[in-house]
Amino acid sequence: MRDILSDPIYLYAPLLVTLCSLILAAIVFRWGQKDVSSYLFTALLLSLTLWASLLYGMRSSQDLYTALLWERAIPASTFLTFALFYHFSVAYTRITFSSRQRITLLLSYIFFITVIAFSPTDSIIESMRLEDYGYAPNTGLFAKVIFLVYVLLIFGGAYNFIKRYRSTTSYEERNRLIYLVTGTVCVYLGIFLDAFSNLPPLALWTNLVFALVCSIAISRYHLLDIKIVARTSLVYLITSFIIAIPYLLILLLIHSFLQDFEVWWINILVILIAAATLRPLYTWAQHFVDKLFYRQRYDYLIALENFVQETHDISDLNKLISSIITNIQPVMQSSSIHLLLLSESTGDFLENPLDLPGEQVILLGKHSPIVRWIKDNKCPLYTKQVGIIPKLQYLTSHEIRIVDKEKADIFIPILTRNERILGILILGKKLSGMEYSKEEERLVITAANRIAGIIENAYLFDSEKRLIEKLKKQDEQKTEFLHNVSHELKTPLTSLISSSEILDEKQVESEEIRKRLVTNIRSAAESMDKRVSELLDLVGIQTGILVLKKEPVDIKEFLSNVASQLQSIFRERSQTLKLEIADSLPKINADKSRLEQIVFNLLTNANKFSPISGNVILRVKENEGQVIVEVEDSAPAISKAEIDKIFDAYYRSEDSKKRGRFPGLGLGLSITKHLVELHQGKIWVENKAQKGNIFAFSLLALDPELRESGD
Amino acid sequence: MLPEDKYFQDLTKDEIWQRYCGFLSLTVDEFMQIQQDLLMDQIKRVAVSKLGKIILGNNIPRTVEEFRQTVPLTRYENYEPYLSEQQVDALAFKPSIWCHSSGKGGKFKWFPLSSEFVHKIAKNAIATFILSTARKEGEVNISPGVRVMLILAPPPYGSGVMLQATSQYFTMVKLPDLDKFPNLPFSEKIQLGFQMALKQGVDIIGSLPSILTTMGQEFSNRKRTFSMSMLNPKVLYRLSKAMIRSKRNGRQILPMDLWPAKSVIAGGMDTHIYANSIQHYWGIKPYEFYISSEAFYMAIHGWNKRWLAFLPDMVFFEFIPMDELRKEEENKDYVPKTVLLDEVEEGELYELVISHFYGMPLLRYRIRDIIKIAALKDEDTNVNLPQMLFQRRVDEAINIGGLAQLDEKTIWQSMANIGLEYNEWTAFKEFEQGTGYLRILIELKPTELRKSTDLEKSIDEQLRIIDTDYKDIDYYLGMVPIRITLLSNGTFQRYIEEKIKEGVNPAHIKPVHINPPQTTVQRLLKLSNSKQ
Repeated sequence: MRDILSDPIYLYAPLLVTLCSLILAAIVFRWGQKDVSSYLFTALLLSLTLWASLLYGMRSSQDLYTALLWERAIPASTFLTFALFYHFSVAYTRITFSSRQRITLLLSYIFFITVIAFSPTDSIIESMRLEDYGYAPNTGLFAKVIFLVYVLLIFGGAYNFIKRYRSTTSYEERNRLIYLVTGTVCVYLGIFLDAFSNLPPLALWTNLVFALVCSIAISRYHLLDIKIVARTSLVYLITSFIIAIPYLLILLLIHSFLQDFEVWWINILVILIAAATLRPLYTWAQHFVDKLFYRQRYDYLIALENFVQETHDISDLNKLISSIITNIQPVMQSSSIHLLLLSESTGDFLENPLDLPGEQVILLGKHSPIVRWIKDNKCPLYTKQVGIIPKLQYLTSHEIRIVDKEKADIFIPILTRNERILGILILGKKLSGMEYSKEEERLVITAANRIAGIIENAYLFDSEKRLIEKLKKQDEQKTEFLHNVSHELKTPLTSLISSSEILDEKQVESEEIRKRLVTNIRSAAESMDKRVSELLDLVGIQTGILVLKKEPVDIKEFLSNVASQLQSIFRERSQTLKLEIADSLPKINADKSRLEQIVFNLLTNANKFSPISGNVILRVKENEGQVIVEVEDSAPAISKAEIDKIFDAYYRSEDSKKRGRFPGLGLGLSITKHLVELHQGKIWVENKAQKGNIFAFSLLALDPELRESGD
Repeated sequence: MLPEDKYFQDLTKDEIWQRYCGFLSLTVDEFMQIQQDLLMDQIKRVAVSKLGKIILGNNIPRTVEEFRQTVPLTRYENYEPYLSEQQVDALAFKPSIWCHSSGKGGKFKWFPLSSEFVHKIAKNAIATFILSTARKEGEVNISPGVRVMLILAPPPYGSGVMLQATSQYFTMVKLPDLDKFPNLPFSEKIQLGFQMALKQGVDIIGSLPSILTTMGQEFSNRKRTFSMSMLNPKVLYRLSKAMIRSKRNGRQILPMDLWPAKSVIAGGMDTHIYANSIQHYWGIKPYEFYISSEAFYMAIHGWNKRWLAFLPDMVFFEFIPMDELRKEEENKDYVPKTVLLDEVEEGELYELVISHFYGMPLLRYRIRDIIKIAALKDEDTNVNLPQMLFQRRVDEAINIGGLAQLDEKTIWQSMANIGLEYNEWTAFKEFEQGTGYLRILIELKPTELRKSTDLEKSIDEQLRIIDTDYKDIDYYLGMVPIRITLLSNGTFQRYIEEKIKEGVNPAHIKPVHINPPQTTVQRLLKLSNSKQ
């Protein structure tokens, strides 16, 4: 018997539990949530430490009497541990205590004091005896009552956890509660085995497991999914028993059968062939077990595989969306699924960013709190978090509609490898009403990564397609340009040659005819000079040769001069050029000759395209540090399609081309645009609802001080 | 289960704190971003309504700056015909509730509330419940079923609507439930509330600070009698506990012994005047909020109950600096410029301008309150948002010699500081040989024996301490600009009785503290003399 008492496992096991409990208490106190439940659990662990220390005192006693003294102190510490456990369960699962729980707590602490009071008497521990495993107590009548209260307190705690499990829809919270209930079941096992079996004391170890499991549950931020842990263990066990053992047995049988041959290499060869032949069977069995135990995950993998296969060659985003809906939605059991893609032009996230046929159902603006949060955090956002994270709680009506109407539950960023967000996948709530599990979240993230690759490819495909179209168009334009150039140069040349020939060959008697011929030659030369200048300007801009000579310009005075120079061409067509120039305007920094070219171009265009007796307005105003010059004509309104192309080089309107009324190379507006941009300005055109267009450009105003000083 | 109860069931305490009190962890930039987003959303919503078109004009602002530049500052008169007649067609939404302010001159100001706004009221009411009962950051001491005894005016008064709105979203045990006793007189409702609280216990008590103090005083002075209603185990338990507690502390039983609450909420500018007496009677420092019928919750105390932090989701805030107000005073056509919350300065006074969110009608509306920016952040709680204190109403200040602006709060504080025992008072500016001075008509309690000349001296001394502008006023004026007239005992009570007989609205029978009408002053003086 002395041997048993000096057995190090028997003797030092309580010390190990003491040490572990102390470490766990420190961990929970330091890293657990800073709330009452964590503090109560720390107190519980300290109480467990006390209990294990007393147990060590009892086990290390040299005689039964000393052991009895130690043992009598144990029930009080055990009771305190269980009372604290119940208290912890209430604090963990409730915000405030119900009156029933308050009374239970009060009674349990009163009972604890009673236990302390009765501890020195025989009513709890009468005496000690020696068993095979060491000292064992002979319990009194009151010990039975205490045991019953232990059971009730643990049951009460487990009941609180289960009740909370049933009421919460949070997957994380449920997982945590499963850990806590598992720990509680361990305690039950320990105390029942100790009470009703003659086995060596087990409560010490089960309590340690309880302490460990519960500490993990309340301290760790990300818990291992307990379902996965259990499932994996079970699968390994079953695979070993059902597949691996028969497999090995067959190989052993073959091996024993081959022993008669006594040729070692035949023996090995046959075993290898048998192993190889049976391998597919093993794989099949493994798949079967996987399918059986990982049905959900198996479905996910199949869905993912199908999705990857289906989307391998997708370059059309519409097909991608339909593939997501077909493959992902049924497996995830989502009520809805939407893919919003980044619009390169606006920065918003749209359901249909490339203006593909279909209705624009959902849009999240680039300034949306949801988009901002996803961009900052680059991880999935649950709708539940929208109601919690302060920055997200203040959604606009539009965003609230998206969340409510689509019953959105999770927003998953579509991230490229360099963490650029290309889109947002929105999953509706699960049809079951539960939250998505971590496993499901991982599946969607995997799918989202795959989608990111596809979108990148689709965008590349799309941009290449656009590039080819653009190149084709440029090619066509260049051909047309060559045709125009030859035509535009050939026409004045013909006029020039024929006029000079007449002058040279024939005697021109009439002074009037001679003057007309000379005028023809001059105007042909001027026309050629203009075309060549335009071409040189364009080349200068494109090659970067063109350099501006900027100087402060009084825009009011400058524009008045330009307008007066052009009054004659307006008079010719009986048009009115009206000036609307604000009284006080800041100076601008500009190249006067190029600025003149810009304004000339816009005004001559307005003159050309406005009808006879039409009105043209030259308007200048200041807005937020910019000087804006507008030329409003009374020409037919330019269509939206034309507005998009009007500043392109070599572009000529259909009207110009058809009627041949307005000769030119189609470079005027393109050069104007480039010149404005060289001044760090912007140019645009707006059509008026009824008739007329406004060509406007903006240039940066000089600093107010310069305005004051006039420098 | 009500919508907000669900959060208490599903969320952890930390998440609950984040949901309701998380605004305290916002930075000023984040606060401004939220305000901007909600304002732009608001403009889109109201731009389509008749009233919105009238206020916004033809050009719909595209930025906050444009909004501030193009939309005029408004007053109730701009909305009156549409709101007073409750013209729903002119609004951008279907009102969930209509409420009104106490109004002046018997005329109420009506305001429609959208369902989204009502939800925000409930959410912020829960925030006040949590913060008022918390002793430190992250502490959540309430849950659905919280027992509240809020002594407030019934709906459609704003304060009543606040309680009504909250109970639509969050389970509360109301002591008493006013819906169940619609016709019970106000005093009996209070009595019933205390009886119920004695049986059921109470978590949160809330009312005007003066009412809380008066109730405490009345309770202390009342002779205790035994009644049959006390024959209830819970009541007996509370009575005995209260007796033990009071005996242990060697004093008479106070309300805090019988109704130990987790928090006492008080709304009104006189809260800090009564803070000590509320704490004396109810055992807890009162928790304060800044509310109005137009915007409901605008700012609330942090958990340290020091200053008030603005709420980002109720209304858009603009602030008119005092310099701008002075320019407006000098030239009525001058349009004062506003600053935003990220531009306010510590220690400065501002008139508050609000714009509703959630499609509600008020835009750039001057609620005529002057607030003080007490600090740009509260280092005690690590809240990085500007902190405010309510100062006064715009027109509720008495200008003395063009040097000092004495408001109700300052005068009140000076009387509290000298421990003056009074029943009621009113103050106004009076002229004598071209010199303006402050006249206070005051009805002292019979136990207060100080003479008017002593009081003039004591109040003058206190005003020098409280108001820096007043400090050197005698140097400039060559006199102490305070005159006190003591009214005979019962004068104010007789005045109120007269008004009740005349059928005046109960909300307006008490003389205002600052600048009462001349007829009221004359009447008070006459009533005081007639008694003598």
